[in-house]
Amino acid sequence: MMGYRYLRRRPKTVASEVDEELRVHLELRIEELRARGLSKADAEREALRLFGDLERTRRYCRRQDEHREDEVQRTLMFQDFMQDARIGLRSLLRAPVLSLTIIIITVGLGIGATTAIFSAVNAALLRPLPYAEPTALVRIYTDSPPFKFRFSAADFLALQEQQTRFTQIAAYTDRSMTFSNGAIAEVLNGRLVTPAFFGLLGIKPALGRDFTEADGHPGSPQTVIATYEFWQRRLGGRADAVGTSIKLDGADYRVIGVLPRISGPLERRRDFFVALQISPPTRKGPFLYTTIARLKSPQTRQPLSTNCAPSIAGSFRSGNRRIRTTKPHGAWTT
Amino acid sequence: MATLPLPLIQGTLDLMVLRTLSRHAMHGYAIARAIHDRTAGELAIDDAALYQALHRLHRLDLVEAEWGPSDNNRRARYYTLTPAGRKKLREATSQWRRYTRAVDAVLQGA
Repeated sequence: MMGYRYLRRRPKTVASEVDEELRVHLELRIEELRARGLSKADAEREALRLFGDLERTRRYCRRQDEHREDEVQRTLMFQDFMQDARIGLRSLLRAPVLSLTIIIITVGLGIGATTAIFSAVNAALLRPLPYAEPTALVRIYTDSPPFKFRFSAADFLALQEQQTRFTQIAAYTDRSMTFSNGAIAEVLNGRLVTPAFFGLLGIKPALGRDFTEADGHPGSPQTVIATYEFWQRRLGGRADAVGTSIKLDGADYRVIGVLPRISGPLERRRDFFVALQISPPTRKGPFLYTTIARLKSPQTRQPLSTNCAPSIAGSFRSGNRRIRTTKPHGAWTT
Repeated sequence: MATLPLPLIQGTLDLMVLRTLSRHAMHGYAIARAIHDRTAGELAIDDAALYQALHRLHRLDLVEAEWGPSDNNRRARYYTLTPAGRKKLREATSQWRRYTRAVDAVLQGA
C-alpha cells in the first residue's frame, strides 16, 4: 500500500462546513425579513421559527457528510489497492516461475487439507522470506467447499499424530493479553504457538532458547519468547531478562528467549509468543488454529503431486474414503 | 380564509429539490425560495427538512456540492445535479405522475 495520497477531511471540517452553510442561510433569511419591515429581533426570531429544528438538522447534516467522507475515502483506498495489486501482479509475472507456484490440494475428508506455498504468497509482497527453505513451507486449511477453515485443537492433534507427508507441522492462534509489570498494564498482541513453530520456520532465538516439546505440555510452567521490539521496549533490552518471569493476563510466564530483530510475516505485529498448551479437547470446535507445515522436499516447479493428496488423506483419519483432488491453482500466474 | 399549508408526502421533497436544481446550481436558501414561490406556499416545507434533504442527496451522490460566492459576497454552498441525480429525477418524476394519475382516477368517481 502506498500510504495516503488523499487527505481526509476531518469531522471538524465537516462540522464547521455545515455550521457555515446554515448560518449563511439564516443570515439571508433575516435580511429578507428585515427588508419586509421586521425589526432585527423579530426577524431573527422569525428566521429561526421558519427554519424548524436547527440542532437536529445540524446533527443530521454532519452525519450525512461524515458518512459520505468515509465512503469517498473507502473508494479512493480501494482504487489505490487495485493499483497496487496491478503493480504487484506485474512484478510477479517478471519473477522466476519457481516463486510463483501456488498449490492448493484439496482432499476430501470431513476435513481435508488445502495447502498454499508460503513463498508465493509472500512474493506478492515482494519480500524474501526470512525463513529456511521457504518453498517447503505451506499453510494447511481444512476443506469443506466452498469454505476453508482453520483447525480445531482436535483436528490439529489428529493431524500431528497421523500425518506423514510433512516433516513438521505447527499451529498458532492470536490473543490479546495484558502485560503488567507493577508500574504499567498494557494490552499487547500475543500469539500462542505450538512448540515446533519457530523450529519449523527455521528461526533461532537471538537470545535464550526455543520452545521445546515440554513447554507445550499442559501443566508445564508457562513460557514466552519475546520479540526483539518487546524486549527492547518493555524488558529493558537486557540479556538477563531471559529467565525472568513476566505477568500476562495476571499469570506468570517465564521469558525463555528473544527473537532476532528481523521478522517475517508470521511474527510481524506481534509482541510476544507464548507456548500453546493444548489439553486433550473434549469437543470438535472451535476452529482457532492456523496450521503451517514444512514439506519433506522443497517445491520445484511441479505442483505438489496429486498422489500426495491421497497420502495426506490416507494418513489422516482413516474411515473417510472420499478423496478429491483439485487441479493446482495458479491464481496469480494467469 | 387563510388555509394551513399541507403536510408533505414522504419522499416528495427530494423530488422537488432535484427538479429545482435541474436548471442550474443553487444554494440552499435559493432552493427554499424557489420551492416556496412555485408552490405558492401551499406546502409546509421548513428549512430544516430542506437542508436534511440536500445533505442526504449529496451523500447518495445525486447532487454535487461546491462552495462559491453568493450575491452579496458571502460564501455559499452551491448544489448541482450529478448524472445519477438527473437519472433519478427522470425516474421519480414518471413514478410520481403514474401515482397521481392512479389516485386521481379513483377520486374522479367520488
